[in-house]
Amino acid sequence: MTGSLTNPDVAGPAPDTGAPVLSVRDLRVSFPSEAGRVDAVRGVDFDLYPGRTLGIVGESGSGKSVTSMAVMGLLPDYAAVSGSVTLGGRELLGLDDEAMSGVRGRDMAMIFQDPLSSLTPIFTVGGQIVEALQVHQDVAQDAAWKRAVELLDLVGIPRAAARARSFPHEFSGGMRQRVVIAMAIANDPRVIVADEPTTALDVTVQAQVLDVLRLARAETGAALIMITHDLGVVAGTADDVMVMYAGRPVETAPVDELFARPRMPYTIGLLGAVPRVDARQRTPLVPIVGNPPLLINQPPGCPFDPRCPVSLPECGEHEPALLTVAADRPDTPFTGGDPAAPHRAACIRAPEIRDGLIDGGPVYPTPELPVSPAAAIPRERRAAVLELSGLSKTFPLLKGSLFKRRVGSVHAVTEVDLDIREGETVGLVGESGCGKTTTLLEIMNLRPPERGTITVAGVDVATLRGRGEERELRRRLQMVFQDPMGALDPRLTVFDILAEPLRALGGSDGVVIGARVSELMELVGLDPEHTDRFPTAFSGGQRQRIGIARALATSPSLVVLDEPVSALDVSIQAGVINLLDELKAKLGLSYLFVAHDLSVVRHIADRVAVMYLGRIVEIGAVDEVFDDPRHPYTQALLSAIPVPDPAVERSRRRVILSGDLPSPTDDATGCRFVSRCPLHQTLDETQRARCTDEVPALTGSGGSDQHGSDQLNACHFR
Amino acid sequence: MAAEIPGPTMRGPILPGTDLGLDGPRPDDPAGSTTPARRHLTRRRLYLRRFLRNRGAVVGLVVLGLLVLFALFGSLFTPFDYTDVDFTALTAPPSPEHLFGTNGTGNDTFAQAVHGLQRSLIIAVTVSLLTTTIAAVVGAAAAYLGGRVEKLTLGFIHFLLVVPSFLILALVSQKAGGDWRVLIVVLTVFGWMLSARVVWSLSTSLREREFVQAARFMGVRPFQVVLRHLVPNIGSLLIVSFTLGVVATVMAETGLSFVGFGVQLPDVSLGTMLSDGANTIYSAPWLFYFPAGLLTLLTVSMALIGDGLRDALDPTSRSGGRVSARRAARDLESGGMA
Repeated sequence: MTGSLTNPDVAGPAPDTGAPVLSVRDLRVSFPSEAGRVDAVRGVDFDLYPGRTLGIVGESGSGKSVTSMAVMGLLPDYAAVSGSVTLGGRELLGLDDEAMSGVRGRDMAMIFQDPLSSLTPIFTVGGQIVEALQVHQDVAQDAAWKRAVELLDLVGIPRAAARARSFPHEFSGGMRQRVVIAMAIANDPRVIVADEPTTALDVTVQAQVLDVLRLARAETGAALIMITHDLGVVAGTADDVMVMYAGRPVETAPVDELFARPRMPYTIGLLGAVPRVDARQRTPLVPIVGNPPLLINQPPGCPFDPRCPVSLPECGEHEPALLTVAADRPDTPFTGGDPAAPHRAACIRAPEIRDGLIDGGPVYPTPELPVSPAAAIPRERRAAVLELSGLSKTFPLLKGSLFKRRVGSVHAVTEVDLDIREGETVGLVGESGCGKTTTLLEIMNLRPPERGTITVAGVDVATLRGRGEERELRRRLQMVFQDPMGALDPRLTVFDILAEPLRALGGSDGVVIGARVSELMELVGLDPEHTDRFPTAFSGGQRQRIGIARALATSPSLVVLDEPVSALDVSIQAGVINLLDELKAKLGLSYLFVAHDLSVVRHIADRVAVMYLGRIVEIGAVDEVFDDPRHPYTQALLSAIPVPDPAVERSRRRVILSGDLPSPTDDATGCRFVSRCPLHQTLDETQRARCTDEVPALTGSGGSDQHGSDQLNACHFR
Repeated sequence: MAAEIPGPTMRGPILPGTDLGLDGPRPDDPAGSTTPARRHLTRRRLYLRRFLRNRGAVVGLVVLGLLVLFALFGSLFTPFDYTDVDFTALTAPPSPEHLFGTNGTGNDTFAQAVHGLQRSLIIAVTVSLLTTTIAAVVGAAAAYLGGRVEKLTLGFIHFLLVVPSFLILALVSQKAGGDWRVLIVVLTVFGWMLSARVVWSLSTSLREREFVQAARFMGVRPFQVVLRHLVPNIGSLLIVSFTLGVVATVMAETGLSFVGFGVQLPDVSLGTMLSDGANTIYSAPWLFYFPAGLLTLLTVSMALIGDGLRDALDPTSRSGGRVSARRAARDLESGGMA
């Protein structure tokens, strides 16, 4: 599967205009809870036609997963489900578990988010597919096994016959998800429900799995329900899209229509809040203020009303129905998909919204993005706040139970050179296991590294003497963590959390600390009155703001951000990103931004360094690298990112990498990317030998620094 | 983001479970933002308030308070000292003169119970407090510091665990002539290892948490990280271990006294009284039931207090949330009158 291939036909087989295979009418689900009844799904209608893909998009808590569980009959007994779900004319709601078991896996199959927990660890993958087959069909063991191997081969498991005898833990995440897909299509289901199938996977693997999913759907002719929070994934896979908010669909339309002409303010907000990997100019993201409602004792009126920038007094009176909206321009022919799936929106102002504009202006006020004063000074003239040179870190590979002996080393980070100047954001990107977190921890430890040097704010950490000097340097270097909950001690109030760095780094004057804490809360947009609450009382986005406030407490010059927005919903994420941008300009901060989401990095970073297996393979100004990637790995990585625009998604050429990230255990000579490199395949014998024998240096284009650009890559032939 | 939706349905991209355990108004939701401005509440105050909401815990606290008062001032209600011998009343049942009766040698059981409770309380609470503190600090520090410190500490704990401590306890306290202070030291020295081992294993998972890492990267001193971040987060375990420790110490002391190695005559503890009373449970039941009743009150009140403390200290505790919701509703109703 190595090499470039264009996107397979997204539309799939022509829609069968006949009967829908699955119809859902007025589906409602509620759960009892301590605080009252939670109305998780409040009236969902849709028809699913054979061979079509319906994308259900929404933030966490919007009811998209509960909808799919209700359709599959997987909700617990205490959930109250009403409405109707018919599969090919047969009513599914009200069937008992035994009858549902006959439907699940045969007519409807489900693909879960976490491929690790959806496979039983103690049986071989082949055995599990055989079981799936034999539960629903009367097939002999031999025939079932043969079919299992065929299925594994179909979903792209190499050496399927041998791998069928392997256990789930012997597969990587992407491979496991392929196995789950193979199981799902084993009985030629009519409907496949995929609940966030690629969220737990790396981008390059996600691209592979989405391809397999398309293939699987084409192979079985089944209809697919694709549940995701990622608008890019929807744009690339779905035919029709349903946007959910507070347990209800608020907009449904064919994919092109929805992305080109959204009519509901929430959809417009979601689209505006997503950073795009292909957007060159730096426009601020548009966050949606506030948080999704709690779904308990909902007041009347549109649930989006409190967050809506264009709400009218009437919006609070009753909840708008999902109504068909006319085409934007009545004079031009309606082109947005087939009439069977009209564009519907639940907003009383939908007719006024055209091309994403209302009354000729944008629905969302665009926030002002302050420009850092440091940006005016050329990069070379600014002082470096962080310099890494030749940084290396290995972990011993131990064997033996009583007496451990070292049998090898994991080369987590190898000879990394990086510098960050004042007022600059450097993005460090790569897939999981590429060494970005190790690099970050090496910096934060402030200990002399195994090899190489770390210089923070002009001080070589190897020269630090004593705790006092170390603490002085810590003042300049702070960190924001990925998990906004885990990074805040649940036993401390917000006040104590924010005061901790102040107290730790000297300064115990209560009045000064109190004033500083209030100042910090205001700086990150939180109410200083709330400092006596515990972190559990705050939402995810607010917790992350507290984390940022804590990092800023000592007025550092460099903030290390470890995936600071990856745990947040899209609409909340935009607000945090804007806050980071604003703080950087206001306080003259420098960021080291570690992320796997390249769209976010493109949006926030000035420079980007791409890591692969512990080495930096490409580094340069963010626009240069993203618009003109040189290293084959960077090219593959960038092409794998889904763009929230169906037109772009269809026309893009993808470089699909084969296989997974190998483990960097032995320090192989030569380029570490060789095993997956698409370029390597096209080279002649002598050039290939160079790839495997000689470690490529980080140099400019063509192997030498010829033009003034500082975009460097580590490939012999680029 | 309804907090109470049961687990499996909340599968989503966004860290499942981060919002579970929400027990207060969200500062951002429209309803919550109407909370009037409050002045900064200290953590202790907050804990106290939550503790006082738990009725059982308050009862436990009152009972314990009465027991302490009884131990301190009970001697004022009887003219006898616990060593006095009344030859006119040997093994006499309870009477106005001897409220709890007397034993075979004519000692006033009431005076003995007052003194015995005092002894047992001091021994049990001191030992339990000491062992829990040592266990918490040693266990958490070993886990946080890691490396050689961790290995040595664990080795030492394991060594102490395999030593037949009861035998050593018996020998040492015998040699010291049944002095209760020596008993405290000996019980402490051999009592902290098991909970230290449990604290250590809990702390090893805690030390990987991001907030511990965050504290380290902020330059907080190691000892302070242990005290501020590790120990409070295993607070519920420590409190359970403290209350159980009180009960266990009373048991250990009783056991030692029963075999004759614990508190020695003329000193009296609930343990010695129980073992004496057990011999005459049919002929003179008051000798057993009065100390047994005091012991039961002591352990039950400790358990209730422990429960209340755990809920008060645990911000995610469910019962705490329920109580506070009910209370909020009540406050709302009475708000009009105030």
